Amino acid sequence: MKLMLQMLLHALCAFAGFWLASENTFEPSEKTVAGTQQAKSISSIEVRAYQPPPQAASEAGLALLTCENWAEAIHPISQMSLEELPARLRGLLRNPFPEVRRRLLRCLFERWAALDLNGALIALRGLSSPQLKERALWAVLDLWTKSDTEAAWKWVNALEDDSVLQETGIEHLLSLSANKDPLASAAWADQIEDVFLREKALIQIAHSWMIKDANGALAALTNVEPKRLRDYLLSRVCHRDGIDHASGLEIVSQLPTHAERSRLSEEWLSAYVNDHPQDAFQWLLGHSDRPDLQKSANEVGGYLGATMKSFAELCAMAHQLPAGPLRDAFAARAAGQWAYTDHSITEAQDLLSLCGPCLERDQAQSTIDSKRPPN
Amino acid sequence: MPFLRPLLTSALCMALGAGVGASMKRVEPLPTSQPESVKKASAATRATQLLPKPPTFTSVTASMDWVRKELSQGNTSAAERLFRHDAGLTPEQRLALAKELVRDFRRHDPRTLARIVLGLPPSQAVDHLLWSLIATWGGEDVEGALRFIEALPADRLNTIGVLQNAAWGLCRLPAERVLAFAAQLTDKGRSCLAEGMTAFANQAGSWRNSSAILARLNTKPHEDVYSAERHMGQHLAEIDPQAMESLIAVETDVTKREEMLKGYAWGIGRNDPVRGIELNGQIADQEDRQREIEHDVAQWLTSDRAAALTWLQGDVPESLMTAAVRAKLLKSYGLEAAR
Repeated sequence: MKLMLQMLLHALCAFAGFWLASENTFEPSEKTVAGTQQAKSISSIEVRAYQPPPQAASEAGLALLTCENWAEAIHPISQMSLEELPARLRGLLRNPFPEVRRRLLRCLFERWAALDLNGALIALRGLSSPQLKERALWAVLDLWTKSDTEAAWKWVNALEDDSVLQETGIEHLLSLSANKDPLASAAWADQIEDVFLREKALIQIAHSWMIKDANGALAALTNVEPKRLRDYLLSRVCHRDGIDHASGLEIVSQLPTHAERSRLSEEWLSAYVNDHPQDAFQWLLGHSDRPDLQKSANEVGGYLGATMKSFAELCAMAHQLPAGPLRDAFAARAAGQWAYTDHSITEAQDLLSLCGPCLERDQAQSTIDSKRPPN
Repeated sequence: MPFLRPLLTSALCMALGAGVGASMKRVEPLPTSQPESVKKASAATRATQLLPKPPTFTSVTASMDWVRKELSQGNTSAAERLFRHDAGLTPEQRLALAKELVRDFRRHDPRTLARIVLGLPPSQAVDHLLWSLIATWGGEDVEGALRFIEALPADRLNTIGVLQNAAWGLCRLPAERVLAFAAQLTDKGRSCLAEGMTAFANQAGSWRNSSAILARLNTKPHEDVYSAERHMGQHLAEIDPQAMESLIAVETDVTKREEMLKGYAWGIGRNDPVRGIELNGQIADQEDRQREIEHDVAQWLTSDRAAALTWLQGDVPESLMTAAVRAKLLKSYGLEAAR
């Protein structure tokens, strides 16, 4: 009897051990979002269905927000007390959606900086993610520069132990000042010794300027210093909405070297033809005596060859260009694109026959040949 | 003492039972090998069985609409359900849908997207999708992206696509963290990483941080990888040519010097083709030198035909371009080299 009892006890112990070890079979091995949002077992999912969801701006709620409902937390965050913010930050950092974290982090740090600037600065430096730290810093700087730009600069300049954060701070401060006076900001940025930081700073200034007033930036281009800022604006402002491409191309035509005119005209005509194909072609036609537009003709031909419906019209355009490098570049690229976009190979070959011997023709011929059905 | 033995044996039985119990835990098989950082717990897989079944596939747009609707109702695993075998998608539909999901990155948990992409049958298109995901993820959340890529199998990890795209985010992390990761890479992998870190030097992170990483990566140009030195040459040709010329002048490693020259010549040649050719003319390796110059001249011919043909028909030293290459280029224009 005693033996049986002992056996029973041992069996019971073994079962208890088995049960304890296998009980959490459904426990997530990693706390994925799904893992935190979904219950640990089917039965607990059913139980959870009866539980009210946490409030959007609670610590638990912030961890669960998605891109569909993150905006629900904006207003509650803007009303939070300082004491609530650290816990909300913890909740937000557990959110699996980078977009939600990024957007709400901004709201949270705007609130934090408004209530306690030093606390916000300490908190942002404690973030491990460089991108979140960057976003938090931007939010703080946006507010800080409204009251004390000098102190903000001083703080950023003292960030010697985190050069990534420091540089993003400098770039952001410069982009803010560029909203008021882009040329003064650029003159300051041009003095930066680190060439890569200088480059990033000038790019930030250019972006701020283009976003605020693209046509203003274009109008100022002939007098813009430093040259790197001018070059960058010249290569990018053409892609902004509502820009006057013909004016930009006129500025480009004044550049001193063939290579610069060629490269930047190509950029501008690429943007122009994308927005207004017929106008861009007419512009090219009106300047077809300029050899520095050879690359541009290639670009325009490529776009029209890929997008035009009428082959006859495309051929007529090629015919209008005078024989020589521009027509060759236009016809070759248009023919290549015509074939590449699964139009008639015979038509593509006819279009290519308008092109004299050149490398562009060789390249287009390869494209056409690659689209021929195998014999 | 008489109780000690049954107590010990009971504990032993319990431990044995626990051992058996633990060994019977089973992880649901995933379509392909997936890193731990993106593996989904079996609980989630089972839980999703209770969620609504995706509609029959009609178009990518319709499926995406369904995913968005489910997401708005809190079903964060909807996208993955489309990829279950019982959803009945063809491989092409799966790829098209995965592309759209990655394009819609902001709405999804990147780990979900990673599981989806890694679950697709390997192909070049899937590789490109993976690289795109890594670039976007790394740009938004480098820590999460790094946890994912460092768990990739070595043959997938040590590739230019993964590491160059990852560098977009990695250049923002502290040097120690990146170097700890780099320790698991092969020589080629470290070269890929170095290439990416240099490529983004003028766009992200800080050069102080990136150069600290690069200095300790201690890579050499790798034959399959566009080198960090070449990128540096390209960058500095535009923003600080004098600094680059000084670097080239003092570089004692022949391979590195040649790579610097190639990058620098390319950057300078964009605005001054003749100078670009002269710089490439300093490359010691004859084959490399002539290949670079042929490329320069081909580019020049498509932007300023008259000037390039004049140069080609002039007195071009054999050391810069062989007669055969010169004749081939001129022949494309129906011309012959001057005798």
